[in-house]
Amino acid sequence: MLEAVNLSKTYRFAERKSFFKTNHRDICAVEDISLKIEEGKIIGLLGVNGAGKTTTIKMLSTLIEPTSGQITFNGIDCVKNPFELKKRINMIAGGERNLYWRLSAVENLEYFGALYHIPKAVLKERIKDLIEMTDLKEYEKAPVETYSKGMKQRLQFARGLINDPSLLFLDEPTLGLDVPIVAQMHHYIEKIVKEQNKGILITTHYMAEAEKLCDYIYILNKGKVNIEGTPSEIINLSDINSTVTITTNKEVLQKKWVHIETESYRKLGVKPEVDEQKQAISIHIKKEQIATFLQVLIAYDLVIHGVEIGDPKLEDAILQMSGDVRCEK
Amino acid sequence: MREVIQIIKAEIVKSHQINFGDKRNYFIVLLWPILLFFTAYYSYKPLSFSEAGWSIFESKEVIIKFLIIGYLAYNCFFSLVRNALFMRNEREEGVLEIIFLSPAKRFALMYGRALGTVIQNVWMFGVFTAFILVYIGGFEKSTLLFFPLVFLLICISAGIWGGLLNTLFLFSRDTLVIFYLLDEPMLLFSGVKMPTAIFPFWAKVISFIFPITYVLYIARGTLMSTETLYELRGAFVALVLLLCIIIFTTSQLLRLAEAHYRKSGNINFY
Amino acid sequence: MQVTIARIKYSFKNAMRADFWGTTIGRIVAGIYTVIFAAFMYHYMVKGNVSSSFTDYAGTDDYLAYIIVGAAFYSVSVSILMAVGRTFMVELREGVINEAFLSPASRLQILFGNGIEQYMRSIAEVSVIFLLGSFIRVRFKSTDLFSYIIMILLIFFALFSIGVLLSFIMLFMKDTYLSQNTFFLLINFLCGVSFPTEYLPKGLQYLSNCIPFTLLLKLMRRILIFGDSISTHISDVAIIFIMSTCILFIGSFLLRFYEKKYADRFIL
Repeated sequence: MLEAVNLSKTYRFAERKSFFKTNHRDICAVEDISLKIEEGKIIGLLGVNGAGKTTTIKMLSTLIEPTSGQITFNGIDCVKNPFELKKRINMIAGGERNLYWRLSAVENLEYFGALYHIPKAVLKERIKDLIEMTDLKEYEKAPVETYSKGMKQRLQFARGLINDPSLLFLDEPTLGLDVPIVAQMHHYIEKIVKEQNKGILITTHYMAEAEKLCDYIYILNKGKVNIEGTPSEIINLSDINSTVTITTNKEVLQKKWVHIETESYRKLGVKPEVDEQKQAISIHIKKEQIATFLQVLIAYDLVIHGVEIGDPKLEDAILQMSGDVRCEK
Repeated sequence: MREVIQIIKAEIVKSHQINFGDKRNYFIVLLWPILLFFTAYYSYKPLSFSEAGWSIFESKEVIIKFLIIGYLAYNCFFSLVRNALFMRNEREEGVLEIIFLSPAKRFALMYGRALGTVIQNVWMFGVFTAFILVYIGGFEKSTLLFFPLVFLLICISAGIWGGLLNTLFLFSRDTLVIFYLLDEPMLLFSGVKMPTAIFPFWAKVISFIFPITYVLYIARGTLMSTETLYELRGAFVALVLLLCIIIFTTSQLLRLAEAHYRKSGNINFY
Repeated sequence: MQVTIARIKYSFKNAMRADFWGTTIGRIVAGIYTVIFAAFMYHYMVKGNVSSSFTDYAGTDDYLAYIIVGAAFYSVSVSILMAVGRTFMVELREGVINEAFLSPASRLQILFGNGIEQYMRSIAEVSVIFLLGSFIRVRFKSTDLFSYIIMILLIFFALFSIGVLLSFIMLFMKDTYLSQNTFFLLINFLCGVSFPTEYLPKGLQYLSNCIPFTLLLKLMRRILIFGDSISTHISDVAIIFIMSTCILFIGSFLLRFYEKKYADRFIL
């Protein structure tokens, strides 16, 4: 397990005032962040642009030295001994960088594999497996500059696994990719966590992705952990309700609408909305109130053609909470 | 040790794959020393040596040998310098960060990069040697034995020099000034184009800081049959000492460079 | 004009922020070292003796003045050729080539803006080389202002035209380092930068005469070393102008052709 305690990072920026004068400014990018990444789990690190996600991930991956704080991996102090952690981790970033464009997939993997001191025979087998896993067999000898975005990202994935890391840092890995490729990336991520018990820290702007993949989420705001918890815990922290939509027929609706509206308000404290064109009633209530609402409808003999329950999403919860006062766990 | 060799090998292979993925590059890289050599050769033409007491330079063959050895060595050094400049591309492509993410020994990385152009030097050296033998009627048989020694000396010295430059280029993406401040003086003061014996004292002092100065002294002494190996022992010792100092400096700078970028987080700025 | 001005502003800001000292000092240093090398050879190696062939070919025995003019021109040519030639390759590397080629802006105006901004800085850089020359007691003759103006304009035009051609070559080869350095070495060797081209074998002399820089350098030396007026060299001016114009047309045609046919090679 990788554990970070009270990590902070302050950058010093130089601002040129004139040809000879430069002012220096200290900017705190990350302040007192504590988090854990366990093997076999996917941890999400979310936040708006400039929240400190990339700085955090770079500190955890030993690329940047924290200004203060501690990082330990299975008891090893990684701030003092970064090379011990380097052997066990890797990073995949989104975008089309971090690869040699003039080299082929195999050549890239051979080179990066050598940096991790992987024996030649083992490396050869591993490259073969990774190329197959990422479906790049047909293009393995073509230079990366000829690859599509999706192919480059798949190769990045392969490169990130070349040293069979215990922990993998994914910095916006699905940035700019289309739906089928994203689904593929998710499949790879879930597979390596389940089958190989790897720990993953993922940063992303796509809430649906975080909700789907993450076992635990840290949400950063201005360099600090604002909210943390499992996706459902975070959703429950907010006041977001489920949306229940009932489709019925027009005549029944016109006859019984007033009664349903009054009774719903009496029992649930919320008035439903009607959409006459769609011949539907919708209401925003908590999950535990859904049964009561359905009972109201049944009591008035409403003919129900269809029921649709929209569960609250993480995105909605975060949007709502970012507009509220910070909720701290 | 095995790990170090693995990294050096990987860097050499990578450098070759990138620089010579396009076969045209082999011929371009051969063209450069030829152009440089002939430019230097014709630069001698406007000058009159006899009145100045440099009668040996009146011989076209001597000038050619002198310059060819100079440019061979310089080109090896320069190609390693060029490899250091390549780090700028790696910053832009984002791979430098990934390399420093790995536990690869930094020393091995720097020297592996520097030696990355060894392959092209073998090609260039071989063709150029053939050119010498055909164009000017060849060296004496005994001197041919020194070619491998000279080549090894050039590669090792240039590799160590290139390691230092690679390390200097780690400090910032904007280190072109280092290239200009080191490469041009190297060409001027190390005796590539003219003998260091003619230099004033201050220029001679500058020449002492470049390993290529000693390499050229040894190379010309052996290949032009002007001195024996025993007579060149002073230059050998001086070269070894200088290379040791450079290796030590490189190791210290490497530590500083990585600490610097870990603090500032700017390895990828481009 | 708007595109040119915008480009000049961008180019200047970029130069100031991106390795200003590296590029500026580098070029000045390269020029200074060329002069120092020539001075070493001249004073220490040959004790001020030049060969009679040099006097015949160059028309002067002032070797250092000859070299300084060559070094100054070479320094400016490297600056302009890099600034103009690398324009689109830099855009490609920084990921903004889409924006450049998407816009209706004239590609020549973009290149021109880069070139003219660099030229203004190069004139300052080159003055250091002439200043060094004055320290080693090299004296140049003066002539009328009109001659200097025409010379300055002609130098830029010749360099710009080759720069446009180089821009195409770099895009075509998708490389800057190899192509630009090969160009510079060829200029240094063929155009009379550090020795009269008459020393070259006949075949290479013909090739040298096909490059406008060769005649341009001769003209520069006539003006700066001999103090000739440009009016006595109108035919040379005309030849340089015509050659440069032809090269400019070829270069811009090739650029347009390449953008149309092979844009997929570099559009991100």
